[in-house]
Amino acid sequence: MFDLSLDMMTATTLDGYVVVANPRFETTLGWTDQELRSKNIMEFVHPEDQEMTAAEFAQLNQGMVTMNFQCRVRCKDGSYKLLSWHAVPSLERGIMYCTARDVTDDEQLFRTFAEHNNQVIWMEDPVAHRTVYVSPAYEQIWDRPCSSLYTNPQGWFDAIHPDDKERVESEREAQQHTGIFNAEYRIVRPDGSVRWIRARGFPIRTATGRITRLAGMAEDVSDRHNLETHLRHNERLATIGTFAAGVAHEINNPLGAILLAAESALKRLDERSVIELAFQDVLVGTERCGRIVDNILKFSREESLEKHPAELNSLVDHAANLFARRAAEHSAVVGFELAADLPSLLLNETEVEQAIYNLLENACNAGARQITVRTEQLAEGVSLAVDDDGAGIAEADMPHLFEPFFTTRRGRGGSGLGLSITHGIVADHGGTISIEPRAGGGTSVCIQFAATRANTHKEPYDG
Amino acid sequence: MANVLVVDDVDTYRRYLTLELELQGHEVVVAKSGSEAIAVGVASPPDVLVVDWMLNDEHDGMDVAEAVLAANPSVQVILITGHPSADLRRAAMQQCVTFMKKPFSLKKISEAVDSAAKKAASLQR
Repeated sequence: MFDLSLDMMTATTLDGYVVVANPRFETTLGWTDQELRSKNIMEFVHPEDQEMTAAEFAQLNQGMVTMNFQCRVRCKDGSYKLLSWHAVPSLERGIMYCTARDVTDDEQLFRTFAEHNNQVIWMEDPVAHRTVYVSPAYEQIWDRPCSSLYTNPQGWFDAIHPDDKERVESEREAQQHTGIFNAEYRIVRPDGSVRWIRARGFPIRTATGRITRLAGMAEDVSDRHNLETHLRHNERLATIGTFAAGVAHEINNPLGAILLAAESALKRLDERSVIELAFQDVLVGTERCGRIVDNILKFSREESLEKHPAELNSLVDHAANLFARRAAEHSAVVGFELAADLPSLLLNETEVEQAIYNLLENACNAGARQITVRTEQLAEGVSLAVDDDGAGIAEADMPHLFEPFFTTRRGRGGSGLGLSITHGIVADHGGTISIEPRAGGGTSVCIQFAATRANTHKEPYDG
Repeated sequence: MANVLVVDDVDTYRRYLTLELELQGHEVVVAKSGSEAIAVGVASPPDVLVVDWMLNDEHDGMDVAEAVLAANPSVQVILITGHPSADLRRAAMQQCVTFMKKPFSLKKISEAVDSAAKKAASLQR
């Protein structure tokens, strides 16, 4: 069986000296049993593979088994063949039993595959920090010769855009433990052009779990990236469009009224009643324009508002009182489920009241009949929810709710500012706001405020 | 001079259009909602209908125009709006409706009403 085996079989000493080798060695590599005897296997291993082969030997000498260990071995004619080894040590007898299979063709297959792929396929020796293989796509994407990676395995990394290097470096550090590498980064090519790369890496392990190779793929995703940037840009333009249309609409109505009133008054300078009325309308119109400008400025406000310790429940009371008349106009009933003994929070009372008022207003505009305001103590703060039984929000509108001037009630009293102002107020308090449909119809808006750490005045609250 | 029906849900627009058009010698009737305008305009069609497109009720300005034109096809319609979308312009064109973008000056609206009144008079003759 030893003589007939299609695989190479050999017994060596624990330090690698050949005791006996079967005839398959001669068929595959050209070396006869006689020529191999008393030689150390290491003499035949490719110089670049010797370090990892030595590491494998060290493991065998601790009684571990080798499975599918690959290294290049020199043939009698000077060429190399890639062998895949299985080995079992017998420590008490001082012998290693090894079988080896020629997988040069398999590697050839891999190379053919790799070389016809427009992704960069690479393999690295993690012990010697050496590039074992890199496919020709590297030359297209990085615009640098493959051979440069064999002399400088860091070459691919050196090409990374300075802004992305730190991120990729930390990903590589993580790879030391997991073997997994996953990153998207930019590279700068020798001509200065920038490409986006998506790279994935994974470990190749022996049966015992030791990592013998790091392999991976890297592809040029610049086109996809440019498309995404383009889409994001368009989205932003659309938001600005909504914003501009909103400003135009909100300003145009009072502006139109001012224009008509002033023109009318000029034509009837002798009619005191008309002039009085016209001045009234000019005042109302300009005040309205001023309020709109104030609201717009809220979006560009950079400094945080002054905050004081306040009881959220009493702000709810106050906002609901202010809202009572509006609620009656809409035939809506506002109910309360307020948690007792809430901790006081650092709040700007006017702003938070406005936020609550806005949510009540929205509920009414959605046709709610029953609105419930709930407060609740959370593990790390306090929540305020406004639930309504109104028409709910169309799914397509959901992503736009906080955009300034986004409204489904354009021309019917909707300015599109309520929720975006509310969002701004909540953000200024370091809180979060979420909007969800309620089971059975209606909408639930929930604001969470983080708990106050100190009762100091005027300290900007940073959550 | 002409009979003009002014339809707008914003009272400042109603007020100053009325003042201006009366100053020009027209007879002005106002309506502040689509349904009110349809009731008035169908019962006694004006020579000129000045109607805002967005009316804050179930009928918009185009509904009013269609209803009044159905009652009397010689009525001249001026549609005013702050949102002159392409769709609206197309619909307005199909109904032979004159289009006017908000905000506008009194001079401009009274010129438009004058020329509409002349056209209505020539159609009725």
